[in-house]
Amino acid sequence: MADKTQLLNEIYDTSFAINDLTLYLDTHPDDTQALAEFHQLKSRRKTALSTFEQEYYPLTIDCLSDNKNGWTWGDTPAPWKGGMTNVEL
Amino acid sequence: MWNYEKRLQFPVNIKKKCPKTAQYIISQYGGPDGELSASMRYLSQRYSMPYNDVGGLLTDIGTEELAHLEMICAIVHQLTDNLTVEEAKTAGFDAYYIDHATGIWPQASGGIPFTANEFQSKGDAFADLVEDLAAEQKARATYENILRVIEDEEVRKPIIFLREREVVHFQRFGEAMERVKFRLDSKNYYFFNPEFDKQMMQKQ
Repeated sequence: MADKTQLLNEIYDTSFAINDLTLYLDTHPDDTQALAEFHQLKSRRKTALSTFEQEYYPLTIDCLSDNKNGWTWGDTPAPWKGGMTNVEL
Repeated sequence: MWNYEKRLQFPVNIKKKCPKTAQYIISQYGGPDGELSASMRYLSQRYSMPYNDVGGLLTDIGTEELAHLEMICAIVHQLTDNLTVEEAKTAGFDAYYIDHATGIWPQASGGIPFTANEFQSKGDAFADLVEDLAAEQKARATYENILRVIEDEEVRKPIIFLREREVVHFQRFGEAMERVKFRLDSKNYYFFNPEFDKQMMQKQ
C-alpha cells in the first residue's frame, strides 16, 4: 500500500503547480516549455488521484471507480475536519 | 460549471482554539477585501470581458478565490470548534456567538455583513482590470496586517500561502492588462476605448 502522506504530498504538489501554471499560461500561451511541464504534471496528478482513490477514498466524483464499496462519496472526511492531516508541506 | 475536489488548496490543521484570532481572520471571508468579494468580482466581470483570454483568466482566478474562501472558513472553523460559552464570552467572540454560535457567516472583522457593494463589475475592460489589480494589493495588505498580530504557526502557514497568491494574481492581472493594451485602437485615447461602444474591437 502506498504511503498516505507521500500520495497526498504528490497530489498537493502537482495540483498546485498545475493551478499556478494555468494562470501563467493564460497570459503566456506561447511558452512551449511551460505547456510541456503542464502536461507532464497533469498525468502525474491523474495517477496520484486514482491511486489515492484505490487505496483510501475518492477526492473527486471522477475518481469514483466501480461500485465495489457502494456509495462512498459522503463517508469521507471533510477537508476542514482533519481530512488533510497527513499532508506535510 | 464547477467540480468539487475534496481537499483544501493548502492544508489547514490548527490544534489550538482561539476565538479572538477567528474574529480577525473572518474578515478575509466576508470583509471589504475578502476572498468572497474577490471571487464574486472576477466571476461577475468575465461575462462582458471583450477578450476571451482575459475572460478565461478571470474564470481561473475567480475559481481559485473560491478555494481561498474555503481555506479561510476552515481556519475560522478550527479556531472555534468545540468552543465553550465561557470561551466565547471572554475572548471577544461574544457578539458573533449570539447571532451565529459557531456557524460560519460572511462578515468583516468589525461585524459588518458581506455586501456586493464591496466590488464592482463595470462592463468596461480597463475599469474592471484596474479594480482587480487594486483588490489584489488590498488583500495582500490585509494578510500582512493579520500576520503582524498572529503568532500561532499553524495559523500563519496558510495565511502566508494566501498572501503569496495575492502577489501572483496581481502579476497575472498586470500581464492581462498589457495584453489588452496591445489590442486597443491606437488612434483612440490611451486606455480609454469604451467597451460598450465596441470601440475596443476595432483592432481585432
